[in-house]
Amino acid sequence: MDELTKLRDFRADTAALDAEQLDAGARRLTEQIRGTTPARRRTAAGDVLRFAVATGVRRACLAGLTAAAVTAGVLVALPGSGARDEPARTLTIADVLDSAAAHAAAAPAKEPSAHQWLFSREYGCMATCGTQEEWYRYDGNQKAFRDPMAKGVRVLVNDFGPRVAPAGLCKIVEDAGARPQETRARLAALPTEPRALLEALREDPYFAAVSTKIDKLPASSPAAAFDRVVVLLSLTETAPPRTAAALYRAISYIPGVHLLPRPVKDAAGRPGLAVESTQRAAGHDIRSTLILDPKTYAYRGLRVEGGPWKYSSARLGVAVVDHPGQRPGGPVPPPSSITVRPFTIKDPSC
Amino acid sequence: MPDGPDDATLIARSADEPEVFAQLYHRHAAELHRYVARRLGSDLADDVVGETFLVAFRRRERYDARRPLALPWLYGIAANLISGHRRSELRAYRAFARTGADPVARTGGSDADADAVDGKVAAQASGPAIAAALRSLSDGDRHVLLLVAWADLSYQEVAEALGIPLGTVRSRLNRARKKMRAAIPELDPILDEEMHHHG
Repeated sequence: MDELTKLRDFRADTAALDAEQLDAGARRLTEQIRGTTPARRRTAAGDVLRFAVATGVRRACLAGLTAAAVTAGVLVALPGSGARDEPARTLTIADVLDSAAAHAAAAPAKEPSAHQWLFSREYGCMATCGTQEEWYRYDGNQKAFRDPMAKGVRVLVNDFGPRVAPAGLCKIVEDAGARPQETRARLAALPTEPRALLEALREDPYFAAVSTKIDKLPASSPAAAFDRVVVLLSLTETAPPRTAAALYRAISYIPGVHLLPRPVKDAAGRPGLAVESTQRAAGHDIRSTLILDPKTYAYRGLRVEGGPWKYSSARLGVAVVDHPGQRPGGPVPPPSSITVRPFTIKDPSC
Repeated sequence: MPDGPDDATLIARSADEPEVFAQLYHRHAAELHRYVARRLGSDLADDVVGETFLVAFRRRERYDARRPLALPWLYGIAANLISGHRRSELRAYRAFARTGADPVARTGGSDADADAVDGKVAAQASGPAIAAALRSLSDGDRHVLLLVAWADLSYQEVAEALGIPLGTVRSRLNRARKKMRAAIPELDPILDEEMHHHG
């Protein structure tokens, strides 16, 4: 027996962390990394005001809707639509999505330039809740965020390398949201007739892969179709207005998707109109909910719940800005605060 | 090896999705915690391990992506933090050496307690001597010795963890082993040949 063996016996009975302690530690770490405790609703609402994302209430939309109330509709108590004693309106899912489509179609069609940045601010809950800000460069080659641990402003820019990576170089981010310019071009080429659009999304491998990543659903299932459209709607300023409108309309053509009679709160606690699809995946009934702005019916958040999954996200603001790390209307982060880092992985198998 | 992407890939991805860092925690925290608890006790280990991952997150962009396993890197960060608790570590060694009772002994109730007590009795004979010897080492030597003996790192990994040349790892380890050997009464204090060559 030598000294190393003796030493290995020393305090050899030191206990290891159990699974519960590990989970707690991981949770604490995530919270600290996020630098956030769950935001109060007041803060979230303030952010929305500050970012002034919505282009304003489309009165025309609402007025049209009220007139168009159909017998087969659902009685919906619209949240935040004025006086408390306002009578609930009867809406059908088609009404709601038509209005959302009309609203989307009226949005400015100006496409960002390749080196502009799509800013988004979201409040999301997965294991823990937190506010997340991201900047995607429109050409999809870079993504930026502010270092949550930094004192002062520190913008980290991930450089994903050329759009088509050479052999031996793996690209890390590949989803449609990370490539806004390409995604927009591809979306613009799709048919806008609802059924044809749903079919095109299902058949095109680029879009077939789009999902909330909760679980792999059979690509041809209605739930997967709903999931794809919801994710595409959640992207920041990516679809051309005509296609965005078609996406909203297409939802009412997906079997089993229905409008909930009551407002549903998004992750940030704001009530909105809820369109829901239920699915069975991995032995669990999973509810996916698209939450729409109660006034403009535009995308405002999503929720996935069921089995082990619980995920929700609320859009607090989106905008096109000229610099990474720049908030809408905010100052331009100085060049010294920006760190660009190569984000490709060398791997011969790529 | 754990399933899924290697540590380097996780760390790279965590820049986009900080939650991914929690996966790194799940992979390595238990091992790291046991090592730190062995040196500082369980309570301090909670703090040190939590801080280790936070520091790692802040430094993630400096992680060398060519290294698939992040454990040596994490041990290196932990070593720095452990040094910050040097007095506490040394106080416990001294108490153990003087009283024969280890203040860092395992606490808390579990079914394994009965076995643990037996193990402790068996380990106790040379315990105070080892504690005294550990206390007598320099910080640098102690890190190298314990990373090899308790964390099972290779010399190369210790060099990476502590940011020192391989030769320094060898010389520190030899010096530390020599002291340990001399301090443990039931071992022959005569050193083997290899030690003389490298020491």
